[in-house]
Amino acid sequence: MIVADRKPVDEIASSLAGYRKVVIASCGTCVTVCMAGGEKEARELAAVLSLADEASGVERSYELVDVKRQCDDEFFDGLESAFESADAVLSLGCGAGVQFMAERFPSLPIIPGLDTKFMGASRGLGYWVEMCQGCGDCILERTGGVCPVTRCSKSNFNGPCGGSQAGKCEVDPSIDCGWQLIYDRLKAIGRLGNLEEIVEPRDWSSSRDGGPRTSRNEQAELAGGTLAGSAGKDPGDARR
Amino acid sequence: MKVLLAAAPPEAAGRFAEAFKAAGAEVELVVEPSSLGPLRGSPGAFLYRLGGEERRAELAVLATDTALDPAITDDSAFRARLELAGYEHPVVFVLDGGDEPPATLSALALRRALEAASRKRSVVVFARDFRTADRGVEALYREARRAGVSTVRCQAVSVSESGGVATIKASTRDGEIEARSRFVVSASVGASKAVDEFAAALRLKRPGGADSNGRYWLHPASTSRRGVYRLEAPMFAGIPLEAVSRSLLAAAARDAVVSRTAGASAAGASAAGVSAAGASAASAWAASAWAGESGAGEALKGAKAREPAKVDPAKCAFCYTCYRACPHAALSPDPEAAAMRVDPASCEACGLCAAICPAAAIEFDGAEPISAEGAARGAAGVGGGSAPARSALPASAAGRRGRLKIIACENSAYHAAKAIIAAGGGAAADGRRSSSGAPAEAPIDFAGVELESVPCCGSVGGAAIAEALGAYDGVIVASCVVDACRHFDGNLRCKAAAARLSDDLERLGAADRLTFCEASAPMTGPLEARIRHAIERIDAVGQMPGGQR
Repeated sequence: MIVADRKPVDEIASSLAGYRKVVIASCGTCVTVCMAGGEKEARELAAVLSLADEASGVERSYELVDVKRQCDDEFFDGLESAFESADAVLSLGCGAGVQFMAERFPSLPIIPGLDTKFMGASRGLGYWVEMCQGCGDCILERTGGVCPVTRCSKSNFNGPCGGSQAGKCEVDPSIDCGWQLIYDRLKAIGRLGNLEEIVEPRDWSSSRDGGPRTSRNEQAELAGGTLAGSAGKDPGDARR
Repeated sequence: MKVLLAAAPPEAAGRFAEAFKAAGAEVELVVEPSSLGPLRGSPGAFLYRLGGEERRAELAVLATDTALDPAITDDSAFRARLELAGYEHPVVFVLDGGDEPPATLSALALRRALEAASRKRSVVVFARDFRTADRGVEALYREARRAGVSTVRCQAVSVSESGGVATIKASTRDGEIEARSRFVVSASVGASKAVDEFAAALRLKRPGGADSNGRYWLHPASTSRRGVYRLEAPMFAGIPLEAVSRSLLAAAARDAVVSRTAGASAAGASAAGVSAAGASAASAWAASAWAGESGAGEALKGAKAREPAKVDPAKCAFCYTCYRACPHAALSPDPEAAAMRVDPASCEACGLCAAICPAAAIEFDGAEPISAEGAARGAAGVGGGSAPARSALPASAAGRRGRLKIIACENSAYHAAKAIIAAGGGAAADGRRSSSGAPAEAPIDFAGVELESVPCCGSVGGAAIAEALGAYDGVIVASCVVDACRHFDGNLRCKAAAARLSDDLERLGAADRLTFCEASAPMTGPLEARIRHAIERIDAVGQMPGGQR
């Protein structure tokens, strides 16, 4: 799941300066579950912003629109009139949602209300941890299901480094040493031998270093074709 | 009272079970950690699986027996040996075994170390690490360091003795350290694999702490989870186990205290006039215990029978948030619908799930607005519930602003608020005059003040409070005294939501017109002071622009 935090409210307020009619668009998927950008957060934010507006004499109206998923085209069907009559949209979606909306509504300013943080998992009520960086070349089968790219602060492939102390990371003692976790896990599954294999330096072009990435399912593409309006907008198109 | 008793080692289990039975509890004894499924729910209404079967308990105890040095468990033994040790050598504590000493042991050792330091001994504590994540231990650690206690973190430590003088050799990161002492308090961690497994099943490890090897949940008698207790036998040396069991049962009774539990009907009302959920014997017991103790039966009368919460499967994100949050284990997954469902027999209509549901998929009608002047008003969305996909803001739609809204827990603060309003703001005056000699304060003008009772402040989410702020010049959210009710999670969440809103308003430079406070039914004094202060502040800041009474 994509995990995000709401931006500081003053930062949101200042980015809304000058807009009189604002639509706050919540997103019903990941950011709803991580309690950052769902319907309830939108309601709370609208109420708080209106209070601040009233106190400072700013005239601005807020309308709440709940989009089930901000990163897919059809979920905006029927909501165009709500968006297009606004001066700006405050999106409580992740970075993908904000950008998708910006493409979908080319003449409308889309303002981010969240800081999108990571892909992670829930470790209990209201607590999420980063688990995956989407590096595009998974080696979890070698490391016992604990990701060295994400869970080692230095993304070491042949760890641990000298900064591993009593199972904790030198970057911050509240962080578990990723390689300690890998060791514990490999021990538990009887695969400590994996540690003897040296992981060769990798080609990071599968990750962010290769520029924006795309993923294509050709079967689906052939059957359904490219979605109307999105042709030529894929960052990877030029490279194909 | 039904007790889930997880005991290790098995040899000691019988003794623990006997003690709890003698104290009057019904005991479910578990010695095999793997047979125990995760413990859900909260004090008074725990739910767990044992051998594949779902069961209920009101209290859970993790009982263990580890042999420990009497000098660490017994005050008088420690003091006697301290006297004998004299002043020539330092007093040495060696906390060894496992990765780190549990908080229990660290706390005990640091307390003893402090005492020795205060008796003019030099003190050295050797340990592999100090688990200071536990707040109590952290404070003790700091205090001990200030009192001159030396702490040595070491990788390995050994103690050898000859002629009454012990030599302690420790290897540290900076090299070998050697100390000599006539008084070495040595304590190894007794925590075993079984204890760790039990801890996992009882969900004693908290996020943010050590997930793999941390044992900081080992407090002397309690754990990180309310209603789940530790009974580490040596820690209670000299006290009959039965007495310890009794006190744990009493503590559990305190934990499970619920001032009122709403059910589908008030059929469970006892002769004392207590309205309790007929569905749950635990709740009835807790409610009557509370009424018996405090004579608050009167306050419990007339509670509204509420509909259980309802999940809208179309909106449910199937995220398990409510499942984790429900104190009554009333929500369970419905895999076919890919949504949660409410078990109406378990639901006590507290509204905690509705407030925390991220997808606003839980419908719950809990709020009961009562105007101080007797005029009813809309509930401004308080109590959770769902909003339509497109909605205008209630504040702007209302165009009319009330003066002060008091959202109060119907079990506690609501009664205090009602008494204050009934007395016209003099409810607490007598008490104040007798203590301070100051004259009674002027009556409060309650015009435009509304009081709304909610089944638990945990049913009031941030959005509802924020919207109430839009509709009123001031809002007071008055919950139970946080620790005094079994919905402590709900109280804490509401408190956190209020704090976040206040912080947001401050960042935006808007006047903070929100007050969160805790009040029990008899606490009219403090609540009245809050109301007075809130009204004064509203009058000082002035009405919000555009508002009209």
